[in-house]
Order: sequence, then C-alpha cells, then structure tokens
Amino acid sequence: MTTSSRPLHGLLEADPVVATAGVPLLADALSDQAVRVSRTQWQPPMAGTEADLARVMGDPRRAAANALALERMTSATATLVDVRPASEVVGLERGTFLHAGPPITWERASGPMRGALIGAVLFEGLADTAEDAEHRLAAGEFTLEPCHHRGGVGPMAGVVSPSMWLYVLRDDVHDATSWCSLNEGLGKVLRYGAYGPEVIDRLHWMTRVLGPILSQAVRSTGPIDIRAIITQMLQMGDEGHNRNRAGSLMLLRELLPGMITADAASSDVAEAVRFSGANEHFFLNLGMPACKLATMAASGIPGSSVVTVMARNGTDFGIQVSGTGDEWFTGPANTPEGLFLGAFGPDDANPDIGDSAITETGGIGGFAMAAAPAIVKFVGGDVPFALRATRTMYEITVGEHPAYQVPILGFRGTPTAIDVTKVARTGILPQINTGMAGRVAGTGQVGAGLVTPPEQCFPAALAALAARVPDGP
Amino acid sequence: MGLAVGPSRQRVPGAVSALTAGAVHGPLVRATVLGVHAPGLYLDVAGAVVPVVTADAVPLATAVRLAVASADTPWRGLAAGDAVLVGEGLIRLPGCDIAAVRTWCPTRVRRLPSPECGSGGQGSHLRTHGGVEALLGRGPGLTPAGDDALAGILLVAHAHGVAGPVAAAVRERLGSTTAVSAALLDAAADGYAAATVVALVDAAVAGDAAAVARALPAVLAIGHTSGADLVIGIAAALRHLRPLRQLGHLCQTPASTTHTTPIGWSAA
Amino acid sequence: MSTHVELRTGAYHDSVSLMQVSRVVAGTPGVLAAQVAMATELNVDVLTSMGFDVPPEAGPNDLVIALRTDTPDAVAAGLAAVADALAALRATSDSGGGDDTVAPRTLGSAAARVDATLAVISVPGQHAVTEAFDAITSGLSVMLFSDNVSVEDEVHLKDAAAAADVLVMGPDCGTAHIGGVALGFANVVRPGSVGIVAASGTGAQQVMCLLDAAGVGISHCLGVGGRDLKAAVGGRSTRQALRALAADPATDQVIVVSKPPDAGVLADLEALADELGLQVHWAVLGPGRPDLTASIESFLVAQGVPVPTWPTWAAAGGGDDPLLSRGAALRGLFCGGTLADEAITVAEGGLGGIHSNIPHDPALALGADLRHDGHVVIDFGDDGLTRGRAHPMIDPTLRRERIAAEALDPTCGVLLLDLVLGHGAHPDPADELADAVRTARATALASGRALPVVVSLTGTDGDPQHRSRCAEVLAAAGADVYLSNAAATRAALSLLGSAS
Repeated sequence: MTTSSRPLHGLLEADPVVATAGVPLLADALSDQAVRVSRTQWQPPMAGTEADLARVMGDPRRAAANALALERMTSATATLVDVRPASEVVGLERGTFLHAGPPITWERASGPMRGALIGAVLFEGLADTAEDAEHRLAAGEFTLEPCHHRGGVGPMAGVVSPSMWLYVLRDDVHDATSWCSLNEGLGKVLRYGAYGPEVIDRLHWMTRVLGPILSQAVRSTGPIDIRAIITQMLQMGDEGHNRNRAGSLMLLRELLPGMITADAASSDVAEAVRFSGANEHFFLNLGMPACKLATMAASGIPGSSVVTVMARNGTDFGIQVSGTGDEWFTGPANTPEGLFLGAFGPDDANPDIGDSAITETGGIGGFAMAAAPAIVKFVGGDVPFALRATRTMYEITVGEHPAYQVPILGFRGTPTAIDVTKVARTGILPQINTGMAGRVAGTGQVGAGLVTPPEQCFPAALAALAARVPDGP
Repeated sequence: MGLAVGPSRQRVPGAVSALTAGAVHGPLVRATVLGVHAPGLYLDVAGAVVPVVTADAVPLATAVRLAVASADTPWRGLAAGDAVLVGEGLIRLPGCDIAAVRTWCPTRVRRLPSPECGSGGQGSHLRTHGGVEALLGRGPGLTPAGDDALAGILLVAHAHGVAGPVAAAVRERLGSTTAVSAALLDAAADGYAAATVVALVDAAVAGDAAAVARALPAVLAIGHTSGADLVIGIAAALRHLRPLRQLGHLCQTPASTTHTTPIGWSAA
Repeated sequence: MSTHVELRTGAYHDSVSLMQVSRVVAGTPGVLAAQVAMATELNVDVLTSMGFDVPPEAGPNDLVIALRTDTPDAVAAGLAAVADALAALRATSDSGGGDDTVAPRTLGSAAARVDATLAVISVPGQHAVTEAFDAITSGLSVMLFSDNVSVEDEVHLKDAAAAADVLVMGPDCGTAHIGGVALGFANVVRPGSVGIVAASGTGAQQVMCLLDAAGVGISHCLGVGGRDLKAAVGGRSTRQALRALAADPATDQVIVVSKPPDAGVLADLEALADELGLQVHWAVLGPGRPDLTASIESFLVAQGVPVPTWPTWAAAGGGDDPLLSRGAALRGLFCGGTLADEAITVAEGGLGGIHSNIPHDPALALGADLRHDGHVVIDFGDDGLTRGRAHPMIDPTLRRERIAAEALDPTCGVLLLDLVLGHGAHPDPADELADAVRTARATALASGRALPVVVSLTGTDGDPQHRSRCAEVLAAAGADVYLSNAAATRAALSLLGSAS
C-alpha cells in the first residue's frame, strides 16, 4: 500500500456523486440533500440470464479483456492492397462454395441463397443447366462453408466460388488479411439469387475484365486507405451499410487513375469505369472487409464479451463473441421492416441475409445512423429516430470509436464493440440497417429497412461465456 | 421562520460550504448579484462573496452547490447588479428558492509535517510584496490570470506552512481585483480550493507523478485559462520551495499565452 | 361485477412504485380490487388468489393490470386511473434531458454520465450482484441495499472490491453516512469525529441517535452488511472500512456495531486496528453482552463525555387502571432487525425463551403464521417477510395488521413497537402508528383489558419528521416513548401482568 494513494480513492474526503439502480425513493432522498444523482432506467435482464450474467460480470478478466477488444478493434487499419481470384486469396478449392452467414445446408437455405448457389455452380461450369446444378447441390456434391470461416465476408447471399475475384485488404497493425467479393451492381444479380444467363455472363465479364483492371489499378496506385474513406464518408451523410454514396465516389476517385492507365482495351476500361461509377453501393464491398479486419483483431480474447461477428444466411442469424472464439450462436433470422420498392410488400421479403451486419459489429452502419439521417427515407422512421438509434447503441457498447465520428453528435465517436452482457441486461438489441432481398430467388432488392438479431443469440453466447469463467480466485 | 413560501415557488435543494454557511443561514439580507454565468452565479451577501454553482461546474470551496446540471440553472433572467434576498437558509431567486439542506466541507490542501517544510530560509526568499503587486488583478476575466497563478502559489505555500507572508500581502491588496477573485484568493490563502485543484496540489507536493498526471486534465479544463494559470502558479511555487525536485511532470502543461513565468520572483 | 386482466410488454416498473399505483387505482370509485404488478411467480400467485385469471404466457418482464369493478363502465375509469398513475411514474423517473438524450440503461452508463463515486443498488437480489460488479469494475464503491444475495456472491463481490480498492456496503445495507450525506435510511445527526462501522442498519441508527442526544457527532457511518463479521465473509468490508477511517483526518475514533463476530475475524480486526493506530470501540450485541445503550454509555465515559438522561415521553393519562386484567406475554413488533434482536437479548434474561422469526434458539422459531401464546418478538424486515413486498419502513401494512390482531388477543400483555425516523423513512409515520395504537388500546379496553404500549423511537431533533412531535403524538395515543431501545424493552417488561 503506497502512502500517497488514498483509501477508497478518497471516497470519505468529499460528498459522494451517486449513480442508482432500483427504488426511486433512495435516489429521491439523495436529490433532496442536493446530492448529484444519476438514475439508471433499470429493468430486469433477459429472462433466464441472471445466473450467467452474475458469473460473467464477476469474471476478473472481463473489464480488461473488453478494453483490449475495443482498443484492437479501433486501432485496426484497413487498406486495399490487391484484387485476385478466390482460388489464390483463400486457396478456395474447386467444388467448394462460400456463403454469407453461419453454416447452412441446402435443405434449409432460402430462395436467394439457393439461387445464388445455383448461379455459382453454373458460373464455375460444374453443371450445364440450372436443374442439374440444383440436383447436384441437393445431392450434397459440393461443399458449403461460411465466408467468415475463411476470414472474409460476402454481401447478401455472399456466394463466393474459386474463379471469382476478391478485394484483398490488410490490417498492418495486427498483421491480418481479409477479403470480399466484387459488387455486381443493382438489379438481377447473383447476390439476390438470380442465376439467368445475363447474371452468369456478367460474372464472367467481372472475372475476365473488371477484376484484372481493378487489380492493376490497385497495384499501380498503391494501397488505398479504406479506413480513411470510412472516416470521411460518415461526415458526408453515409453510414457504411445501407448508404454508401460518398464512400463510393471517394473510392472511385482513388481507383480511376490506375484504371485508366491499366493495360487493357480502352473499351474494357471504359466499361469497367462506367460499371463501377454507376453503383452507389460500390464501396460496401470494401467497408465490409474493413470492419471484418477490425472485428477479427478483437477476436479470441479470453474473458471478453465483445461481439465479433453478426451474420445472416437468409435462414439463420449468427453471432460470434471474442471470449468464445469461433463458436456460432444462432437463431431464426428476422425479416426486416421498412419501406418497399415499387409494388413490393412485406410478403415479398426474405428473412435477413448477408454478412453486411459486420458493419454494425464494427461500429458503423445502423450504429452510425445519426450520421445519415437521410436514410430514414429508405428504411422508415423519422430523423429523431435516426439520432435516437445511435444514442441508444451507446448503452450496449464498450466504448466509442476514436476515428469514426458523428458530426451532429458533436463529433462523438460511434458506439463500438457490442457487449453481450449489456444486451442481456438492457434487452436492447443491436440496430441493423439493411437492404431487403426478395423471397423468391432472383427477385432482387424489394426494399430497405431495419432489423435486429433474434434475441436468443445473446443468452446463448452469455451461457457459453459463463461456462468458461474460471472457478475460484 | 421568516418569509412565507407560496405553493407556486419551486424549491431547489443546495449544499452550502462550511466557509460561507454563516452568510446563508444568517439574517435575511438584500444580496447583490456580482456575476451570472451558466454554471455559476456570484452573490455579494453583506460583503461575503457566495458563489452558487451547478453540479457539473467547478466545485468552488466557498460555493453553494446544486444537484442540477448547468442545462437546468434556476437563475435564468438574472443579471449582474440585480438584488436577491439571502438568509435564514434560503437564497430567493425570481421564481424559485434555493434551500440550504446540507453543509459540505470543502477540501483543504494537506500540510506537510514540519521537518519537510522547505528549509525555513526558502520562505524568506519570496519577494512577497513586489511579486504580489505585480500579479494581483493582472489579466482579463472574472478571475484574472495573475490571480489564478497567485492562488496556485498560495495553495503550495499553505502546504509548506509558509503561506503567512504571501497571504498577508494578498489580503492587503484584495481591492485591486474583482470581488469574486478576491474571495477565491482568500480561501486559497487558507488552503481551500476546488477538490480537483487540491488533489493536484497534494499530488505535486508529494512528488507523486502518477497522481499529478491523473489530476492535471481536470484542472486544465477549468475556465478558459484559469486552470493553466493555476498550474503555472503551483509549478512556480514548487520550483522555489523545492529547487531539487524533479518537476518534469508539471512542465508538460500547455503554457498560457498571456505570460510565461510569473514576474516579480527572484532569489534573494 | 366485471373483471379485466391485461398484459403489457416492454414496460418495467419497480415493485414499490407499482404498489403505489395499485393503491391509487383501488381507490377509484367503482373499482373493487386492483393489482398492477410485474408478472413474477409470486405476483401471479397473489393475483390468482385474488380470483384473477392471469394468461399463462405472462412472464416477469410483463406488466399485469388486473381490475375488478362493480359495473362494466367502471373498468374504463379504472384503466384511466392506471394510465394516469403510470404516466406520473414515468415523469418522475425521467433522468432529464428530454428528447435529446437517451436515459442510461445500465449502472455503468449512469455512473459515467456524472463521474459517480458511489453506486446505490436496490434492485431485486438476484440481479443486484450483476449491478454491483458493474459498479466495482467502474471504480465505484457500492451501497448494496438489496438483500437475498448469497454468501458466495458476497465474498466474490468483496474480493473484487478489495482488488479495485472500493468498498461494498452490504448486502442488505440500508444505512450509511458519507461526507455529511445520509444514504438510505439514516438520521440527520451532527457532524463530529466518531466514525461508525455497522454490520446492522437500525443498530447503527440507534447508536447514531444516542450519540447525537449526548452531543457527540459522527464523521461517517459505513455499513458492511449483516454477515461481514462471520467466518465465511471474514470481515472483508470491515477491513476496508477501518483502513479508510484510519486515513480520514476527520475521524478520531471508531465504533463498530455488530452482532457477535466470529472469534478469528475479531482477532484479525483488532490486530488491524492496532497496526493502523486506530481507536476502536466494539459495540457488540449478543446474549450476555451489554445492550447498545450500555455500550454507548461506556464509550461516552471513556471519552470523558457526560452520559445524558436519555429522552423519554410518558403516555398521556398516566398508567392504565390497575384493576383491568392484562395478559402475561411480551409482544414485540419491530421493523428494525437489530432493534428486535436487542429486545430479545434484553428480555430473555428475565423472561426466558422468546419466540421469534429471528430466534436465538432454533427451537423457538415461529411457524408461518408467526403466532405463539407466549413471549413473541417479530422482525417484520427479515428477508423471509420481505420477499415480493416492500420493507416495513416503507410499507407498514403488515405490522399494522398484527397490532390490530394483538389487540384482540387476551394473552398479549404489552406491545413493544419501534419507530425509526430519518431520511428514507415515511415522511409522517407517527400519525398512522398512533392511530393503530389508540385503536388497539380501545379494542382491548372494550374487552376489559389493559393494553400498555411502549415505543422505542430512534430519531434526532434534526430529522425531517420532527422527533419531538412524533413522540408527543404517540404519547397522546397512550404509548410510553423511549429513545433507548434497551430502556424501552425494560419498560415493557415492567408493564407485563403476572403469568397466572
């Protein structure tokens, strides 16, 4: 015991500043004595979690583990260093197909996921017709694996096959690599489960023309700082999941010089540039792996209750937590609620799908909604709702992002590092802002809206964490 | 008990400082508003300066402290020169009464045990009167920069038991500065200051670099430059009273741009 | 007659607030019975026993609104009253900031908004541990008002607190005083240089009030929870408290108020006190030991402070008619656990075995109906009687009902009651208790019996309830009132009739 330290941090030397949880009369008695009181708006935690909560909250490793998880998540860098085929980036084997979300079987897969798998099989030339592809998939001839298991992410159905080219990103602070597929644009696309000839043709063009041009662009320009673009786009009305316009333009600006001077036919370059520029979600396929790098850096810390993955396969929603490593905790995916395009309605929507919830896991997307109030025109709600959404997420996260800041909140950092214990205690579920896929394969996007994970993922993760708390002092 | 309180008057509980409790609990008098800011209201109660501060404001040693935040200050519409009634445990503002429900004891700088009180000769090296005159009342603001530095000096001097001559010199000249600053200097002369400032002085006097690092941000955040000026005063006094001490941890503070070293100090 | 039962999700209110809502709604014209409560197992049982059909899917996070009215129209009036009462709750529970801010939803979040130094936790026991760990890892000391916390959890919390150099006051700690601020149920006492460490709430209050009456002030009162000085907990919080008081310039000596500590724990703490150079006076309450009043008297003597005549107020009208018959049994009905325990300790010397829900001998334990023909002392604040209902210092209903029952019982020879004033207690408790006393004495008198009543009144002149006014109201109702609980107990014994 050092002589200069005051016992109990000087508690007896001054009148206390108090935080309360429980019966109002105790807080009232303090206010009546002119004592500063901050009252918790407390409610019982999710049913059945009391014992696990007490155990995890009492884990002496927890606070430091979560602080470390936040520090790593927010110090991870993300630079685009290359564009290469999946067979080279992840050694993806012929006959193996990666997909978004937790593990899924063909039997349980939804329309968009099945359609995307059929299209990928056709693209790889492993079947000649859609019927044949479907037959082979149902027979289990191919291997299905989550993108996350190979350290990457895919939007919507997120199906990745060996010939597809991928963006490759690096986090040099933690010496890690992640990846994501190239964005196909809007309309009838593989990721929404379309598999017609125009989809397959486009995939071939992307492999033959777009990928190599992008690759040359990145290699000649040098690595592009994706994290810096995220930082700027949040201050330009984007949130990084459902609204990426400014980010897409900034990315295009970085890539253009290298694309224009690429060694390729000028008509190919022109088409590649037109294709990229026409896609307002061009940046999404970079923002997602950037967040994957951040959350990967925070993974595997013993005792940490920070969520490192949130992902959906169109049937299930799955999360992973730092302190429980690669274990998935799943539940039935909810169907987003929001606004619909054209004549589509709620019956047309598929349950939540895609690895894009990695953006919320990394502190942007729905968590940064206050930075993108215009989004309420697409997902519903009003501007105060957008502000309130971000403000509410501070209650379930470990801290604030030092770089991703929200101007309207006084440049406060976005709520980052979702804490499973806080979700269980408050009942507040992470707010995700997402596009809606059509239930029927190939329909495409039917709308955009708000969705949360199924509640049950969190008590399950908490129980697993509790089981890993060491006994005794 | 004094005036009747009508049912429509809001009642805001306040904790009075032991240093100014007498003024608030004394007979009912007409007090003058010396200054109004969001976090603080300064009253002249029959010659005693009584600050009234909100929960998120600096807890001045002589202040009546409210539990409400500065967003909810109960003194909207008041201006310097206005009159309010104070006494019998109440501060009667337009539309609400602040009621003294508790007395709080302000923190006081720790006195070093006598053997450590810098070699007696050091105290006499302080060119007190010239130095005080050069600093007191100098600089803009409610608490002039020179005063804030002097307050820091007084607190460190109190810790070493050598505040006497400086305090006397300051008290002689309190009329040269604002009433508010004079009251704060008077309290500092007796070793009283806001808890954050006392924590810093205690840490600096004890040579605890880690504790100084912890306490510094809160003090630097005081006012626009008051905090930095206080720190300059603390550092200067320590330099004189403990010449061999390592003061690196204090030298990293961003210096006030209005002056560098306090003028008027010299070794005899 | 109409019945209305509905479930609402997403709305949580604490049990104390909902009891107030139920009471208000039940008073609405046309409403025969009303219960607004969270659908915990206990509350669902209560609702079912009231004849309401609770939907099977109702869970503890659902709010149940159950009304029984005389006419179908009155249901609407009842629901309107519910809406008003709930809105009033929401208005008072808002932490301010209006639409711009989101209220803090965890204790850690609430603490961060104001840089808190202390957490006061009173959520139901099984959740209190989680909140307490949140506070400790946020660097806050904790006043753990909640009870029903296991010994294992208590030890775990206190180990974590020691590592973080913060103090856990509790569990089941209802009284503390820090830096001039009263926390929980605490009296307004003069400031001074005596520090109190208390393993008992009402014991600490009694000690502080006696000291105040003797003109002695206190610096701080730190609660440590009723089990802290037992072997299992080993005095963990007491050690922290003693260290802090030793380093506190405002504290010169310390009084520890407790039931008998484990011998090993006591030895460790005495050694620690020596090492810290701290003067500690042990006010230990137990069979064969001095009562709290005697303990404080010897403390005062040791300090050279004159022992005052402890305040008493005599019942109006002098004593009861000696010709009236009176029962032979002591009936002590207490809200304060230590006060009840002290009464048993003082009384059993002369009376032998005292039946109780906190008996000194397990063979003297009361059954579920809490009745016995002989001497009985009941602690209405004990865990067993507060599951799912408010503490008797907040809701005096249970004790009031028992007072009425004792008035009809010829074996009851004297009623011994406690009334504790101060912050947190009922703002105007004397009138209600005096009414109960007056009615009870009249009821007994109507059957030709005298029913003397003695009240031990723990309070100071500075308390918001005005001690002297309370004492006068109770005396006017026919009770003898004493500041000293031990003296009150002895007075009650002297008023008992003979056994035959």
